[in-house]
Amino acid sequence: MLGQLIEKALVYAYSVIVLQDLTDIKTLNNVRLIPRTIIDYGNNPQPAKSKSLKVLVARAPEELKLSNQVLRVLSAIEVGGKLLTDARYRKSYVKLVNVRKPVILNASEIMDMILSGKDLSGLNTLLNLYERSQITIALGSGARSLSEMHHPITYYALLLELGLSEAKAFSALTANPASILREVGLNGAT
Amino acid sequence: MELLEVGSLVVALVALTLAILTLTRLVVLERRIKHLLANLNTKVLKQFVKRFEKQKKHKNRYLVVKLVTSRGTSLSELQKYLDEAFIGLYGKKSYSEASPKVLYYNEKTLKSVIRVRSHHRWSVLLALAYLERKEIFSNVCPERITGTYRKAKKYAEIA
Repeated sequence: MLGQLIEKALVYAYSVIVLQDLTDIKTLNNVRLIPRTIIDYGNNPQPAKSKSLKVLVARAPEELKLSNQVLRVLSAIEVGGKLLTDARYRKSYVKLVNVRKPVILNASEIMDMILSGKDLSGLNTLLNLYERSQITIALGSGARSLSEMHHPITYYALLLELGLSEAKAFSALTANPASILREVGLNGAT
Repeated sequence: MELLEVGSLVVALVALTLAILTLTRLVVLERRIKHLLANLNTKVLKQFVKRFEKQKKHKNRYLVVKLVTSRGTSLSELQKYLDEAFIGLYGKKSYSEASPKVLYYNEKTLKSVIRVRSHHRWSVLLALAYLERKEIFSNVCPERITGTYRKAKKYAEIA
């Protein structure tokens, strides 16, 4: 599986991949593999010894509990689920603006939502905030299988179809993910 | 003499009618311009721009896309897949507006040329991504967008 992933990454010209089930940073065929750690808002997070991208995954407003302890170790916040389909959770979006942490969107989940015809009003609110530079958004593939990993231009097309401007869509795929990695000391372009 | 007088009278009457008609039209036009200038704001301008954009001729764009698949495929099959994916994602109305058509498929380079209306070019790429998710294609690599079929075909022939 990892071999096929690297092969596809090379075809699509990816140089860095962030993966969930990794213990340490690896480089295979000039593709850097960076581990991702999910921060649990329920427990007191401890700074991990090895370098990894620490992400809080929030699929509902009650999961967006950002205590100082969590914020201290957090690299980015991945937003999904109800927070994308429902625009009622104003407080959650205000919280995202105030904490000034980059927001990661999961392209695979968004595509699933589009295909099932779900209302994406929450996502539109987030994209509006990004368009007004109130939050920083980085688009991740969120791929669970090889077929869900797409070419970067396809992700660019997805963001444009969702109504983002060309400059903002480009940043969400290039500069913003790179700056997230740079801030946690994991240099490398995506 | 009488005939000449009648003739000149008819000519004078026609000229007078034409003059009145022209004057009336000028007055109506002036009123319209005044009305337009009085109501000129961003909203009206946006409406005009939208109407103008609709009237504009929709340009075609030619996408060169490398479609890798484990099973062999043909031009008609590609068209069928693309139609199904596009209609599934955007509906028939958008499909008729975009009118995507696979014009060329090179079995050696695995590259195809897809013609689409300019403002729907990104939608076609998403439709192809949908096919990649359904594992009809293992890789979808958008390579180029050109303005002419000749150029697109040239790029599709290069491995």
